[in-house]
Amino acid sequence: MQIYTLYILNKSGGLVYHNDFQPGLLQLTTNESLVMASTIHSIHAISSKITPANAKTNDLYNNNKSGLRIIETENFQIYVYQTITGVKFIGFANDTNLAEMEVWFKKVYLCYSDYVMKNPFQQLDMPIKNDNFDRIVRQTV
Amino acid sequence: MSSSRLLVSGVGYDPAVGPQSTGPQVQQLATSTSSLKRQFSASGGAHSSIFDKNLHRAKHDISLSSLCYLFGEIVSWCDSKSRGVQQLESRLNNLGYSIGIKYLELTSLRENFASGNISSSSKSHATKREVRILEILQFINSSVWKGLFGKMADKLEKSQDLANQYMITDNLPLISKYISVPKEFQHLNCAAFVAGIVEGILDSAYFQANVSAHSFPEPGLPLKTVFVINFDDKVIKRESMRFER
Repeated sequence: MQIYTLYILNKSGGLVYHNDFQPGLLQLTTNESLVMASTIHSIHAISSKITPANAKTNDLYNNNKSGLRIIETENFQIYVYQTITGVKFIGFANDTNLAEMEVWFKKVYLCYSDYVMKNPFQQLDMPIKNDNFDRIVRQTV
Repeated sequence: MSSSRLLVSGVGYDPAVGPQSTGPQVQQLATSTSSLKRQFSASGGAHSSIFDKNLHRAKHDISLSSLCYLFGEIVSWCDSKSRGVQQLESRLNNLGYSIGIKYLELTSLRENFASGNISSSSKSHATKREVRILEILQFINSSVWKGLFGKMADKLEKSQDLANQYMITDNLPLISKYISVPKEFQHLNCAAFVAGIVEGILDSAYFQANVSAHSFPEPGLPLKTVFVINFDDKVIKRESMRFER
């Protein structure tokens, strides 16, 4: 499993966190990564909307069972994980599978709820600038 | 209402009347307190509160998450009320101070209970009060820290430059574990709250001191915090008069 990058999107699709875990990655400009984030957010919303009615489960509508989960390219995959409150974690990775990534996303979610949500200086839906969180997320990779 | 008026007139010398006989009033007071007692026990049975629990319980664990959320709210409340980092820090310090002056009492009670000193009333004179600087600091370093955070503080040092300065080091302060201070609050350390607790404890033990918290991040220990304790000169003077010949 090789994880390149983590994005965190707030519930309205804005990019609030961006961290690269591998050295020497080709970089998107800030604008491009914002576009990337909001595009994935929109596709997730649309794909969950066109899910056939009979395929829907009784779960809450904003869980990740009816939306986008993987985008594949030749050399890497983009995985999407949505929490119950609509926060999205997006992982760019290679040599892995959905189950493995779900485990990692849950770890990141745990760190997020500890180090971001319990920080009194963090404002909801605002960009995350947090050294503790940076450090702890890096440890999960 | 009537009992409180009785209390007021029952004590002290009234210049308008002269010396009073306290005989009957004492009796009235006694009956009023006993009725008060009844009220307490009646309300206590309805729903149990913190006062119904045993003071000497060995485990008093609480959830770290709820503590951190509560403390986070305290910090942001103090932040909204204050202008600037210094004011925020002194607000946190004051809140801790009010805990510290009570906590000394509680922790020494528990400490002595654990070592069996209060278990029988005849032995209660064996309860100990620290009178030397180093002893009270060691008491804070071990007993107080264990009671508050479930572990001992990591280091207790004396300053080499100043005679009245001591330092307690905590490598990972429990209360600010999840707090990441943004750049515009450069020198803020939310453990100022803990510094306030230490200051309250020292003040109520008659070691007047100023305590402040400072961050000293080290590789591997990013949240390392040093509590700098500056004793009043008179405390140092008293110590040297009593114990140095």
